[in-house]
Amino acid sequence: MSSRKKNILKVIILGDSGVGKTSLMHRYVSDKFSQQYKATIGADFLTKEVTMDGDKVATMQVWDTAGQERFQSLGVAFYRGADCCVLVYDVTNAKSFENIKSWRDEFLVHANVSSPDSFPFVILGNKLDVEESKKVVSNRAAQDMAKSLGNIPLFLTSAKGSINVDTAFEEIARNALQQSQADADAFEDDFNDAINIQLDGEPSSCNC
Amino acid sequence: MVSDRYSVLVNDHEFLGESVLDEKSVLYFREDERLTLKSQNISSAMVQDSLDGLVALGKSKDGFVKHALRRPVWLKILKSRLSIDANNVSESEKGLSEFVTHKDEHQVSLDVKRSFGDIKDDVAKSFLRQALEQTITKVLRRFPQLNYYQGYHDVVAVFVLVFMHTHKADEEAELSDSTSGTPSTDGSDYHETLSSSSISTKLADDSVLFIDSDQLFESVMIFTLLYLRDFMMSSLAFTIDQLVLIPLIVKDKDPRFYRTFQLNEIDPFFALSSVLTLFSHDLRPQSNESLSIVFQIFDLVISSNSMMVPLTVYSNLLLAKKDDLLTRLKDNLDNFENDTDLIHGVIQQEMIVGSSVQLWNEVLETTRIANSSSFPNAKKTVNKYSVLLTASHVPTTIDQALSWLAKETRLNEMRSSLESVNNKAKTPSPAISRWRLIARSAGPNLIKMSLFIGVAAILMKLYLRSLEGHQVYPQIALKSYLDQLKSLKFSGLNQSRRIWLDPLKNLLKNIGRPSRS
Repeated sequence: MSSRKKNILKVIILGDSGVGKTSLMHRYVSDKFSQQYKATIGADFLTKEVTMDGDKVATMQVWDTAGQERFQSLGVAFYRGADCCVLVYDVTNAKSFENIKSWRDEFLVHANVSSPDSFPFVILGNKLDVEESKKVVSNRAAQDMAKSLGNIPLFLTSAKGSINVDTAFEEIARNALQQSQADADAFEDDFNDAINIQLDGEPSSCNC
Repeated sequence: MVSDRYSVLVNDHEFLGESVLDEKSVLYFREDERLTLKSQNISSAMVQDSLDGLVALGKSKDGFVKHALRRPVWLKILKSRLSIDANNVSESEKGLSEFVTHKDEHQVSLDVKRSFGDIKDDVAKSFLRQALEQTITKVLRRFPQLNYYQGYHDVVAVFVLVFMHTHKADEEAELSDSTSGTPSTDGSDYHETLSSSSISTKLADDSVLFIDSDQLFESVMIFTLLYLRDFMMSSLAFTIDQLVLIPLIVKDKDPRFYRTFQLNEIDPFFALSSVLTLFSHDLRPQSNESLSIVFQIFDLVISSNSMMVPLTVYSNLLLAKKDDLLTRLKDNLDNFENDTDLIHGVIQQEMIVGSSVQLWNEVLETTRIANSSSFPNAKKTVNKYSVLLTASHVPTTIDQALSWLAKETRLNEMRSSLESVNNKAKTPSPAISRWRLIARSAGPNLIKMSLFIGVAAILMKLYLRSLEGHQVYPQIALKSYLDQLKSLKFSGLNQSRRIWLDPLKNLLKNIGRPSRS
């Protein structure tokens, strides 16, 4: 078993095709927006160093995925070890909003996470910059759904207009860090139990 | 070459490559002469109607050199592989199918909207997008059994760029979009005839873009049916079967690298976008670069009639970048959550982005020399009707191609339903999913293995029984064992008809006893 020496926060972005997953990732990681992003095939990732609560440093690894359904079978390979899952819909696309729940379920089925009930998700309603008349998902409906799925944090964002993206990813990073620590603690508990049996309760010297 | 500074000036003669003159003019002239000569050879092979000549030229350095040549040559070679009987689809049928929308058209339009992003001229961009969407939609409506995949649009976009040509309104002669900058000096240049199916658009400077949409459609249709079927099933299973060949090719050539780079350990999903799009996703082809690698890869696939080409190119690229990959692997050991992420990440960072044109040319040269049209292991890994195996039955007919497609579709459905049964039975643990993947990638082998185990069990049982009778003298036991084996071939003859109740038990009932002789 390889122990992680660096603090890696693995974040997966899921959602229907064309909702802006790639744009959100690029806006967050390099603060850029381009009309030239092509459809994602398989999975791509970018990394960004993050500092939380003033002193905690970690590397956030954002994995961007393909939106077309046929690529979901690859999920098993890409979701493994995720610390947070970002579910994205497009505020001008009702179908993409309705599919949020199935993206979450799909993630839980394939990611093989230790405790599905407490695994952190964050929902992003993207393309907030478009004119009001084109928006079909109301804030109310979005809040209701986020609540019904277990009080998932919800952010309305615009990768193009750079609205709320940093705030959302700060929350994502916090959630991911928490999850990553919880996993590490659980692992350490198991590990310590094993040691306790052998060494008859000798206190662990590792306080890292 | 991948860089941000592309300025695609489809409305300008400048893109013919004159800028190259300033810097490396000596090299340029030598290369120019070579390309001119090759263009002449291709043209005369066209005029002489020499398919073998064309195929040989396509397989050699620089491929078919320029789009003006690619258009007629690709079409000619593809049509020689798959004959389209115009009467095959009746007019009424054709007309009907064109109005029935395909289930994936929404996805197509989403992906088309994000295509040709590098083209600066808005009129040209929307013209290209329109041609792209029309072509894909027409193929899907004609063959509704095909499933569209993200990446198919990248492949078709390459054809759109090749079949597009520019034409100055005040010029009589057609503008050649070669890189050579010396259009029409080669006297034997093959001249295209424009059919009535041309679509065109006028740009701000009065130059006109043309695409012969019938020729474009025909080429894309044949290419799809011959080479992309595996990717257009309802699931990715047959695509993954192809990907699995990459580690095997690498293993053949460099077992040590194969092990150090853990290619035996992880799923080769890292190659997915490259293989699905024949590198057109990652290499972002430019209309003004006829010699860019991606067009040459298509030249090679078409002339060698083999979808082993992308797999071999990918493997050769891995091997060419071996040292860089291993260095980056070492540097990043702590930076990833698990080995799959590590390998995927290292390859993503190193392979496509970090590969120079020179390296790409070397990789293509290696691929050309090795004549990679077949790989013995392919038979064990892919399905019987895979594009990797049916290519040897070319030239063929559209009916035959459609029958392969139907058979593949059925096999794929069978596999999908098998998997969903497995999935229902148990939520996959990583170990099980890995096993399933192995099973998927080595289907026929697995059947062979279970047969082997079955036969071994019978033999073992016989052997144990013969031991029972002759515990003291093992040699005798062995002899009686052999006797029993001999009697095995007559067993079953005297069996009751209800052998199916427990065939094995019945089979062993008599012959398993110590020999009575």
